[in-house]
Amino acid sequence: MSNKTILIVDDSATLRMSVEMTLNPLGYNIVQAVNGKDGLQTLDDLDAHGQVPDMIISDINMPVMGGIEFIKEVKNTKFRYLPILVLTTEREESKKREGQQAGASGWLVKPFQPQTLIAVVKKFTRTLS
Amino acid sequence: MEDKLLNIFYDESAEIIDTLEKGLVELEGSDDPEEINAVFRAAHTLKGNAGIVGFSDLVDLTHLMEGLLDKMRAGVFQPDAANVGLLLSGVDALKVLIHGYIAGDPPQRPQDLMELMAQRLGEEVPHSFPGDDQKNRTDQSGTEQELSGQFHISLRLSREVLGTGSDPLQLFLELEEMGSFSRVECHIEELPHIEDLAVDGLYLYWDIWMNSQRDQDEISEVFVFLQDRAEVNVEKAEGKTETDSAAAPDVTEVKAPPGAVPAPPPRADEKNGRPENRPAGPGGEKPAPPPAPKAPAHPAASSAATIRVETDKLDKLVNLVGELVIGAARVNQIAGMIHSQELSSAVESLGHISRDLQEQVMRVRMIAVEGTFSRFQRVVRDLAAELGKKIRLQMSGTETELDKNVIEQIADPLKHLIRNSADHGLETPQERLAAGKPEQGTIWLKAYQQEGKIIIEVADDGAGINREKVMKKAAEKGWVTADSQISDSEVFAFMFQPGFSTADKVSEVSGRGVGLDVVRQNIESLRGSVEVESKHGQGTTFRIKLPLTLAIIDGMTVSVGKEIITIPLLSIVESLRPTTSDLIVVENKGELVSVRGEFLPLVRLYKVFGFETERTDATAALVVIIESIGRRFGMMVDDILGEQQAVIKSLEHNYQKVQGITGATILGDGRVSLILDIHGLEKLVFDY
Repeated sequence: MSNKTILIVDDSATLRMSVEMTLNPLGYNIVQAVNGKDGLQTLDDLDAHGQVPDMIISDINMPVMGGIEFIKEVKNTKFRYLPILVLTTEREESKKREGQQAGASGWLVKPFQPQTLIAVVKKFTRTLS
Repeated sequence: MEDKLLNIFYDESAEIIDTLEKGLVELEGSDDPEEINAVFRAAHTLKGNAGIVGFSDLVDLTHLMEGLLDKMRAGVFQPDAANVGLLLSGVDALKVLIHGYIAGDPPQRPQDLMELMAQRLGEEVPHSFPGDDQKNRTDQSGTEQELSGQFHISLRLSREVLGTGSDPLQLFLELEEMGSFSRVECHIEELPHIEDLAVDGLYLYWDIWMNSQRDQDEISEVFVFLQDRAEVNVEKAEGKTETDSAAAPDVTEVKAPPGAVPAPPPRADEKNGRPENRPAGPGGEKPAPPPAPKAPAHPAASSAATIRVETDKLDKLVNLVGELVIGAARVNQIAGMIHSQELSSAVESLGHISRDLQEQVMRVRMIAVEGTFSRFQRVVRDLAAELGKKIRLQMSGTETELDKNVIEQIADPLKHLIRNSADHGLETPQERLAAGKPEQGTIWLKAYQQEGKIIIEVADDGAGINREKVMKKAAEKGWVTADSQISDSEVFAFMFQPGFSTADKVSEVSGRGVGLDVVRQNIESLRGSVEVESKHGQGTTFRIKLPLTLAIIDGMTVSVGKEIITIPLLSIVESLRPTTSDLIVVENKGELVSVRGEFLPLVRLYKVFGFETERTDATAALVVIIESIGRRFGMMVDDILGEQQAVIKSLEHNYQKVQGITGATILGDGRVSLILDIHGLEKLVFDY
């Protein structure tokens, strides 16, 4: 079992829940945010309580603040070292490139296979034991 | 677990469909790109969600809608009536599909509509299957295949790379999954003296030889996210691998790139070390973050800072707080009985707090009328098209909040009134022009709070109600004589009587066999009232008054024998003690009581419910004058005890539905009081 915390940023409650249901049984603690702005706020909130997530999963197309901007903003904070997996329906290479340049660490296309998400998340949250 | 996901999906879908519908109606004729984006995003999210839960028909339909919206966004299609109409039909089909899924009875796929959409797009109708998402994969994973090959990778990352979320260890772990390392060389030449070493600097670089069944591109993919932060070279190595081991004194274990990994940030890992564990609510929403600046009025964003809570939980909370208030009242009474000043004042402040608490808890159940109101844009649009009229819907006070149950039940009556205004109220464009009015008629939908009640008005600038026509009809029905001198409001009240309809012919729109009497009934069952005002040639206003909440009622407590009855204050006009001369008995009409010259039916409450009382002489009892629309009557009770707020407990839940009784409440002294349902009582007594 893992005791890691993952911040999921997506405007779809269904998606957030499905991620939570995929990862929760493995012991991941899931924290949710509904858009980029909320994501930044949540990072601050978590930080204020000394609870820093181990990775971030973010959508790209969201209202208020989208994923690319969110990633860029995160890279300007002390959380810039956090791996960020983009989970999106966006398949276009140009978008992907944009995400990479902003600092995304991975790109997974929705709808995802639970095993795939688990594998990626495990990879990103693996630490030296 | 599955159900949990589905419930969220259904909830969210309803919200998205609302957004879609509202957005589409606003979109028509508009060219605001943000408007189209919002609608597009809604369709997109719904498609994604449908994919997650595996509703393939929904995926296909939303895919087509998304395609249309995309073309609209790109300016290829215009947001004209035809295109918006097609999309709105899509919205309708979405509703049908979702309702079907909820009912566990998946409906037919709307093939015709989908073909129409596909045709417009010049595409084939898609046909996906549940779980049809095999094609997606990550850039980090893949499947084992093909022959094993030897690769040489030279890897040199920029010094700052550790500060940007890229961890070389991840790269090694990923590579490791693609094959096996035959040799790794770690170069430490650039490692500075310990004093000059920046903790987040990366001074190492590597040469890696590995066997893998993947091709060169796939291995390169591992580094794709490093882009300009790395010099990476992946090449197929031929033979030259484990030969010169002697010349490699600095081979390092991959598992520990020395010293260069930044320490993980401090973190309280123990559960109890987390002051805020931020669990997802039952609806999957996280608790709202502390006061974030209000997001711009965006449909998707306005639902964002909310928690979803099952109404059940809220109801329980409301109930418990109700009990608390009653408990406090009981203690207060006891304090009075034992004459303890100190206890009394302590209990009094406890009472204040519990009432404040009660009010706050009630507020939690309140939601803005906006969601319901915005649905009417679509209704009005469709009506205008159907009736060949030009109609604009103007809304105000959409932020006004109302109990969730009330909102749900007020939607139908409102829709009916809007239909009524569109159909009977507003004139045709020709008639309007002839009357010197603008061609386009307006329907106003307003909500506001007044004197502890919520008022909702449906108004139009149409021709107004024809008093003569109503009188004539009422006279035909024998409710009134044609030459009666009665006020406008009394005349208009006839429209709420069952069996009344002035429309010369039953129209498709509002004449669906449902009259204003049903509207009235619905509103009264919410313990509200409705009145109408009309000026000839200028328009009509229907004004609905609703209680803030259904859970609490302002009541007057009266006694009948040993029973204590609570009468909703809203329905009470006055109370009086009749003299013998005020009471008459008329054949076929029963007992009447005269109130300032007006004879009202007298209802003996003890008889209605079969209570036992000694006070059967009306002159010794009290008569409470009750008013509901179109009817006043006197209700005979033993005595009036006082006024009080009552928390309604449903009888249905605990016993069974009783006609004429809304529910029960517990009084301060612990006794139970039945709460009258005036409308039900009327039915029971006057038998219609």
